[in-house]
Parts: sequence; C-alpha cells; structure tokens
Amino acid sequence: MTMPDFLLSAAAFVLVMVALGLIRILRGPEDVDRMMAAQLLGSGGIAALLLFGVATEAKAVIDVALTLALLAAFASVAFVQGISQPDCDDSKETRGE
Amino acid sequence: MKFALDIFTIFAVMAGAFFFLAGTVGLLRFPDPLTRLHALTKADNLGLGLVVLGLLPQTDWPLDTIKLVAIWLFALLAGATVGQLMACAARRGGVNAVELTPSPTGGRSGWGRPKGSEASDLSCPHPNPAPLGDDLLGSTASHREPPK
Repeated sequence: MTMPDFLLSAAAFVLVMVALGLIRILRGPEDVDRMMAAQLLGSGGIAALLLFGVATEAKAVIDVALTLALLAAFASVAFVQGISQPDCDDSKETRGE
Repeated sequence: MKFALDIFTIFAVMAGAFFFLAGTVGLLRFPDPLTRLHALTKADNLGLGLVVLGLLPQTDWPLDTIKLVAIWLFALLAGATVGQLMACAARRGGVNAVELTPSPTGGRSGWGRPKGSEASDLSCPHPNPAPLGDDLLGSTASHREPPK
C-alpha cells in the first residue's frame, strides 16, 4: 500500500465519519446542534480535501480547502448572528438604527 | 529518513482520523449541547491538527508546508471564536430556546443554571439588550458588576 493510497483511504474514512455526524442534523433537537454538525462537516471537509490534495499532488485542492475553512467560519458566525438577533449586543449595528 | 517520515505520516494521520471518529461519536451520543460542542471542538482542533501535522513531510518545503500550517492556524482561530459564540447561543437560548435543566434524560442537573434564574454569572453577552447609549466597553463593564 503506497502512501497516496493510504492518504486517500484516510480521506474516505474522514468523509464517512462526517457523513455519520450529519445524522445530528436530522435528530436535532435544537438549531445549535444542527449547526454543530455543519461545523464538523466544515472541518472534516478541510481535512479530507488536504489529504486528497497531498495524495494526488493536486496543489489547487489545498486552496479549495483554505476557501472551505473561510466559508465554514462565516457560516457559523452568520448562524449565531441570526439566532440571537433581538438580544445580541453585537448585532446592534446591523439592526438599521 | 524517507521511511521514518512516512511512518510519522501514517501515525499522525491515523491519530487525526481517530479524533474525527471520536468527534462524530461524541456529537451523536452526548446528551446536551455543551458536551456535544466539547466533542466537536476536539475533532476540529486536534483532528485537523494531527492530519495537517502528518501531511507536512509529504509536501514541498516552503510554500505548501506553510500553507498547510496557515490553514490549521486559521481553523484554530475560527474554531475558538465559533465555539464561544455557539456556547453562548446554546446557554442563552435563541429562537428555539435550549432547556438545559432539567434535561430530558434526567440526572444531569448539577452544572446548568436553575430554570428561570438570572444568567448574570455567564461570561456571554447579557440576554437583555443593553441601552442603546452604551458602547461596547460600557456594557462589558456593567456586565462585570456583581449580581444584585
């Protein structure tokens, strides 16, 4: 088993784990739990993309992983901003007052 | 030397994959949002960190290596910030308020605040909106006052 094979199987394993974690989106019970599963999807996707990119020596995939990291962080911050709009101190500027 | 680096890669990537396994199991099995967040941040930081650490010997030295480390540092920063914000949202209750105590499974009521009590001891932003005249520093200072 060569090194790229091992890295690709590790990427597949991480993706399977993340996909199992998405069951939490179905079960809930709160929106925060669902967003946690999405955050795990973000970080697991970063790890799988890095493994894939190094295994196949496709340099551009590492940039894709960097973009996914950025978007996952923005998604979680936007969720927290949205879930606590009436009483969040930080959302004062965005209420249009 | 190459063989030793390959062995290091295999062990570090396997350890990272194990942390993702642990994060998934914790996310599915833990009883309340804060413990699930705990398991999730372990998978975020340690799992991704060990995977990146294991991949470092396989990349070209200056640019790709530094880029991988930068991705991990960014994930650490974002994970810490988002974890704090989500813990605040879970404890304070958002649109769907989280009932921390009593939990539906029972028996885990030691750490949460009693139902209906004031949340003034939290380090999160206060649930009641600050007066609009307050700036952020003022609301933080008033937040640190001892509860009356």
